[in-house]
Amino acid sequence: MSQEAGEIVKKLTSILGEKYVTASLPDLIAYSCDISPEPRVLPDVVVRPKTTEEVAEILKEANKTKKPVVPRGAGTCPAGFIKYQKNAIVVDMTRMDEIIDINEKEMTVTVECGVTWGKLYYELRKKGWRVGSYGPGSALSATVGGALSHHSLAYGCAKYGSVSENVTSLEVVLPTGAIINTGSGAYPHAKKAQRYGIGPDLTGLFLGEGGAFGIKTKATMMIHPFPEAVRFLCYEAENLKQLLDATYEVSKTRIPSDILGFNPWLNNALGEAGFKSLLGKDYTLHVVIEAPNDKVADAQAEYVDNAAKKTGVKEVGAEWLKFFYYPRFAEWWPRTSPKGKRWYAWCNKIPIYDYLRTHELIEELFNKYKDECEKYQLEPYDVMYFVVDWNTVDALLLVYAWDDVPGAREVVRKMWREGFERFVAEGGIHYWLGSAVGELVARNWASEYRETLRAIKKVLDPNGILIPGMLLLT
Amino acid sequence: MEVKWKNLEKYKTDIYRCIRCGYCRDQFRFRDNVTSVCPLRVTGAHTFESFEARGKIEIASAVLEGILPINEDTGKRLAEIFYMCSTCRNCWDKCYVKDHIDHVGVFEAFRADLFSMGFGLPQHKKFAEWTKQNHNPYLEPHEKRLDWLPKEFNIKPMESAEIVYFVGCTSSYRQKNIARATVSILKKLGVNFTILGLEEWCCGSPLFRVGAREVAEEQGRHNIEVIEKIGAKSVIFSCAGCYRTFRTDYQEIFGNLKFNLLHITEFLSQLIKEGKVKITKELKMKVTYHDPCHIVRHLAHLGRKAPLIEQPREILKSIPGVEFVEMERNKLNAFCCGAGGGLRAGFTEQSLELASERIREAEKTGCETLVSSCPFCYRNLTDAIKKLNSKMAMYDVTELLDMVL
Ligand SMILES: Cc1cc2nc3c(=O)[nH]c(=O)nc-3n(C[C@H](O)[C@H](O)[C@H](O)COP(=O)(O)OP(=O)(O)OC[C@H]3O[C@@H](n4cnc5c(N)ncnc54)[C@H](O)[C@@H]3O)c2cc1C
Ligand code: SF4
Ligand code: SF4
Repeated sequence: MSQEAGEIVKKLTSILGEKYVTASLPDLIAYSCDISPEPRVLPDVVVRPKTTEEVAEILKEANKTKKPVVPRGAGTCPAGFIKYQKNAIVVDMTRMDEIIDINEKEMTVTVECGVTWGKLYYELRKKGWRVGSYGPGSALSATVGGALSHHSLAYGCAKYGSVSENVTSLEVVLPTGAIINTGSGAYPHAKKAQRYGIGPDLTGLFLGEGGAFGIKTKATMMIHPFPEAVRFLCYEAENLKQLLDATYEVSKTRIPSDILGFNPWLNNALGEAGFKSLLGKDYTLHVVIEAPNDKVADAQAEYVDNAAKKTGVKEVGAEWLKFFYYPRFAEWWPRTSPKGKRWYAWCNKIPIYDYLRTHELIEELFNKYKDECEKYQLEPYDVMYFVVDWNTVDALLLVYAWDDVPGAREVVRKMWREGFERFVAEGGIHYWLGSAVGELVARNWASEYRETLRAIKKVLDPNGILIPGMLLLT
Repeated sequence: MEVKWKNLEKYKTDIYRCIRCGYCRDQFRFRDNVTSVCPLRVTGAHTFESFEARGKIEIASAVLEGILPINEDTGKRLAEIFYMCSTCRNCWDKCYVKDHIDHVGVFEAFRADLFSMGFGLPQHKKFAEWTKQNHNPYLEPHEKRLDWLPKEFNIKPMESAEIVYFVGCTSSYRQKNIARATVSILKKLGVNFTILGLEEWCCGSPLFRVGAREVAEEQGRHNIEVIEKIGAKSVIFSCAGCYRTFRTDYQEIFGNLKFNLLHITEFLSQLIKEGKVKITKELKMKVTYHDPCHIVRHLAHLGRKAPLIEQPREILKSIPGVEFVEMERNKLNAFCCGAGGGLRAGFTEQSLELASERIREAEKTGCETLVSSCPFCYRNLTDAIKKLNSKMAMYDVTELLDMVL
């Protein structure tokens, strides 16, 4: 440990006690990666605070020596936020995992940001409630703070949008150590049930920014009654164009909570995993309708079904969709991995019909790397898309790799980075703001936009200590 | 010190299958009421990611890639990290790529390599050395191994019989009540059995778990030899740990065994099903049951053998008057008692905290009787009952059955 690191460990220990400060190499290694193909980066120190005040003290201390600070949730960022950990203090937020208040009268829930979406789902469900967007596919481990920093998307987001749309108020520790509340929480005496109406909306500044503007310590979110009735609709399309037509018509009804379009590979992978009705299908559409009771659910299902069938798609068995539905949060996901290969992902949001072009881009990319993929036993797949906010689809691509094959990970990294570049160049929108994506996004901003954000960063973080480099803001 | 990862190298494939999703640390799953994964994370003993299954796997890959130098400092910290684990296998059960990763296999291989580099914990080194000479990890003289056996049972060890009852060190030296209840039942049921007496050596479980593999293998080799000498068809166990060691470690090292292996709950529940057990009395008790990891998750992991989940429950439910209530975390989800994997010897306080958490969970059922089917679980849970001043009464399944025969 360097002398500088030794000093900071001493100071942090005086804030948190010995138990929750470490600079030991084996510990640092455990924090040296996320789920991206990026190489390991070691921080100097890791801390695990329990309170907002401790987070504030850590940041104040870091400012004294301009030591970088990187907050961390479950560390499942697929885009390489670990790059910013070099010489940093990593703040592991997972001890701040309380559900502070489920307020049924005000229809809000207030949580500490280190809590997982899985725990939130569990506790709300016990009382008959839910948040709109249930959390990312990794909900069982991903934290509220991490997902809000990514504008994460998955379950429920056709209807409710990204997880950020759930939020009414945030408690944030600014890089200087000052603590602020946003939304109606800006009035110290007001309830935190409203996001808008107290002047400009600062909540949005701290959402989907990769954590660059502050450490989120508490979030208040809207809750809704848990749906009593659910309907599942599945269709087979003859080709991609028909699939998109059906997606468009179904989405236009503004009823389903989830709409997913599968490509041939995923249909077969799931078919082979036991969901027989998907076996051998080229394109399939999967629709979830949540409703307060059976009567409403039946009426809505009929309406959506008519909209879908107008496009000529044919109904198929919905057993996969029933398995996928929320009680089994994300269990289906790793199972698609052939033989247990590790996967690396791209995500990319585009208006529904732009997927036709994205699909071509994907084919071009995979063709370019065909030989290298064969040589290094990599399996890239155009997997699926899901509808976000009614008007957009989020395309998901994966590449499977044996990480212990020498050289394989480097090829993954090259192909993966090039993929992001191609998508952004064609107007694709990303949200996992690790280094590989965040820096690319920032380079594509109009210069006025970039300068405005940099000016804001300068005000909030004069010493540039919080995730330096994130979105190229420092 | 020579740095060698010869055991860990064998798990390279498993290590690189981890997708780093973090589902193995803690998890809430509504459909089957999962509210925790790693017991040591729940009780706060795991302070950092490094202690969690995902962190340990990441460290293992760094070690294989040669980027973690081993010296006094790192070796000691690694020992703390890898031994602060009861090897309960709940991380495996909750991992969604579990078909491809043997988590506890990785941890135990890592421990074995640490142990041979001299980084085993002092308590573990001590019991390993003792076992080499005295064939038990309790630092007891070998000659006292049969002290649990009352004369009136009139049993001569090493007689020719179809069945061998493998008593195990914990029942021989500590939870003698369990050995006595087991033998009493076998006698009442007229089972043709023998015991190994002083020819019984430690099964090696604690040694395998902490990485003292050489001594463990010596014990195993001897046990197999003497059982084969008797020509028994089956061996029954009241200790879940001994049973699992024969089933997994022995078969892995020595190949297929020439005799069947049965945990006592398996043996007795079968006899009950066949109508061969005449229960004559009633027990007015409200009981809950603690599933030992060794006969549940460790068997589920093997895949070759169904976990022993229903058998102990069937025994309890066959006793007239017994009201059975499940704890919130049960069966594949059961919360570990904290005794196993060398945790009790290595980190006594943390181990006892796990047992205490389990007792508090048992208390929540409203039961005043807690039953298990492993003497080592029994021991740790009993210590927690004392520590908490709990009114809970602890029994082994065999003790309850013996009372009503
Ligand atoms: C199986 C699997 C499925 C997935 N499916 C999806 C999916 O469907 N949709 C999706 O969007 N993603 C998905 N992901 C990716 C990832 O899990 C999510 O983006 C998740 O929201 C990240 O949360 P985390 O707690 O792991 O955050 P981390 O990776 O720990 O952090 C993400 C970023 O947020 C910052 N940060 C963390 N906590 C805070 C805080 N409290 N305050 C300020 N900044 C903070 C970090 O510095 C980092 O820049 C998936 C991953 C896996 C493994
Ligand atoms: S649950 Fe399995 S795949 Fe996920 S991090 Fe843990 S060990 Fe790795
Ligand atoms: S085996 Fe049990 S104690 Fe060890 S890491 Fe896994 S869950 Fe935790």
